[in-house]
Amino acid sequence: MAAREASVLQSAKNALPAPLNHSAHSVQFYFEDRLMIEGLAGLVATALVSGDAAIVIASKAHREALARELKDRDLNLTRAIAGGRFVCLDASETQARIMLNGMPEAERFSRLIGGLISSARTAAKSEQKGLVIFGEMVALLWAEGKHQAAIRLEELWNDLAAQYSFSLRCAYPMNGFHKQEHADSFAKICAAHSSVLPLGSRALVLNDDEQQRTIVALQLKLQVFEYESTLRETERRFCLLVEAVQDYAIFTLDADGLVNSWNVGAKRLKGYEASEIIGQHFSRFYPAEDIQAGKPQGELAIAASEGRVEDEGWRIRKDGSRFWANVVITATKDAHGGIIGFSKVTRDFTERMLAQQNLQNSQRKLQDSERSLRELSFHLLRTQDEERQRIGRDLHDSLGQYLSVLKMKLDSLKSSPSKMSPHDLAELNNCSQIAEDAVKEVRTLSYLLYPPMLEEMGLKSAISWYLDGFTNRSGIRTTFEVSPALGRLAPDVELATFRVLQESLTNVHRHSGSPTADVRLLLDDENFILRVSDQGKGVNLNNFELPGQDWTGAHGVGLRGMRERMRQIEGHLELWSSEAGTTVTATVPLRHAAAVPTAP
Amino acid sequence: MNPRILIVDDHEIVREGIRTLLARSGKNWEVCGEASNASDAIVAIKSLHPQVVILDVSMPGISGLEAARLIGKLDLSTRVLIFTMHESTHLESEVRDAGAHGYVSKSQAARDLVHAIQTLLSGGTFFGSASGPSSGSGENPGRGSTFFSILTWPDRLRPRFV
Repeated sequence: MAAREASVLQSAKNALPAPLNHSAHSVQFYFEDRLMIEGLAGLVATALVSGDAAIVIASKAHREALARELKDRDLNLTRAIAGGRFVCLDASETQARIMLNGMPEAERFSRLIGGLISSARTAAKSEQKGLVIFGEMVALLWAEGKHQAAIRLEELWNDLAAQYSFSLRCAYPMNGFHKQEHADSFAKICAAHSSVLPLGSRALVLNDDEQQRTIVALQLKLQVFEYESTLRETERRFCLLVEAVQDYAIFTLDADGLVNSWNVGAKRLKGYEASEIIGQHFSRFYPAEDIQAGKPQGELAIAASEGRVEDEGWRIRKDGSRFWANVVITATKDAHGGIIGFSKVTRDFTERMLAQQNLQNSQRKLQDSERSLRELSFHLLRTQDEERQRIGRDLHDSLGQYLSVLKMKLDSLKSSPSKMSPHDLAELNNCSQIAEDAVKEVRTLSYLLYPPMLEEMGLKSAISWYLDGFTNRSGIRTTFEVSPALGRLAPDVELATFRVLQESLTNVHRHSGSPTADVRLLLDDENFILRVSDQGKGVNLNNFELPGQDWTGAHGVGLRGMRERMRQIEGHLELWSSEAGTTVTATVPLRHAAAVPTAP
Repeated sequence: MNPRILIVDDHEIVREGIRTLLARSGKNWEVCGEASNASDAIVAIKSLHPQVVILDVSMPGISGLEAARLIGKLDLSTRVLIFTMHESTHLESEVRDAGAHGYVSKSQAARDLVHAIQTLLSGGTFFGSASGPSSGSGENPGRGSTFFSILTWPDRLRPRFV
């Protein structure tokens, strides 16, 4: 800050006016017309009262304001004008008469203004024939952006002061110097004058120190003004932006909840014109039940204490219709943290809310469908099991028994002491062999359908038997290891496990290309685990999870069936695969798997 | 007193076949009774005290293996011979676990049954003939039921999680 002040002081020194031997040529930069006119009126009044002459070249507004101000001081202007002591001219008209090609022309200026000065001085009644001139043509040129022309005109005035004796005052409105690029011109203008008047000052003569302080003060004010005008511009643009936003209702409330601003979006969303709603309490946007529950005040209270509150809910438009609103209320605080109001941003989320509801409905329907599908699959699996069991049992217990006895009897015929030809004996042996093959066939069929020994002897025997047959059929070597602690399990668990084993081995056979398969029945503290691993080429697990994959699709045969069977006994199935092989792990919590003890 | 034998099977035709086989064997054995389910068999054993019970496995209600356990608990000297259509390498251990003294496959009845009864009557056990039950697997899964720890799972089988 100190460096900045030093720099301003330095530029002020540079801007100090060169000493002038002739008439005083002062300049005043002003913010308010009123103060400038007051000062000017003082200047003119003093001149006229003392018998001197005065020339004022000013804008219409300033001339009128000056006339009022002088009248208030009981000056008889009509007589002064009639006597030629007070000459009042319009700045732009006069300017037009001295300009050539956009610049003040020395000859025209000298002829016109010089003439005015001569006649005014002649009309002066005082001994010294004093003359004060107030000129705004320079300010006019400046305001039109003709900065070079303004500075040139100041120089012409100075030239004229060498020929005539008069006191000249110029005035520039401060708001013409709000940009950094004006700094140089500002300095030049200051340099063109013998004195720079402080704001509101009526004094004509200032010493050097006062001059310097005045310029510094002016320059600092210039900077503040520049900053403030930038800020005002930003604010103005921001307000325009907020006002123009269509999709958001953006409005402000005072500390009591009364609406005090309203943008286009608010009008569009809620239906009220700004004129209808400003000054109204914002609770009218809420449904009656919310108002009764004190929700509007409640939300303001939260915003006041937390700084911000967000809410979604129904709101009411002017026409009484409802919309689902997303609302953010933010508290506006003064420098001391006191609440001075609230800003409120409201969006119409009705469509989004309806979409969400639809989504939830769809999800619920989907869940229902999934549930019925599961029930159906459960039913299908159970029906399939029952049917297989029935057919398997029928084959085994009926046809199988008959064939067994048939073979038994044929065999016993062979050992009969009765005479039999060698040919008949050979035929009898054939019959016995056929009967035995038939028994085996029936047994295999029935076991594949439903191993009766699963029920009678449990998983260990059933799996062991199944692996024997599997190896025979497929040529895949198997190993089978069982935790010694494993006993009988609940029938549905044993069946589900057996089916998972069957499906897994079928997959090993059909898809893995593995020469071996390892089957483990394990126990840990909480679970019973079946693990079937192969050393095949692995499977692309992604293929198993594709939607619409058929239960018996080429890949992942029965995988869904396996999962479903596990799910039904509250177990679960994991499939692991790599290039080194695939492992299927079925895990069932023991609390579900433990066998119900059979009554003696 | 001739050795008494009880035949238990839910199929009359099987019981008849056994009777015929035994009759043709020329042994002095007496078929002291028959039963078509395990419960009746227990009752018959309690009253008839047979030396040997020929016991089917697949029967309605209590299975033959379960019945063998119950018979063992009767604390009689009755010897139990399981007579079954089932064939499995695990069968022997199941039968032993149930406390039975032997088993004969129904399809090998003519060859093995009489021999098996003879063995049991003389205090021995009979678990399969020389040819034994059909066993397809080169690696006998029945051997060493070692607990296969997850920790010893071969690395190459430790697959990626999906």
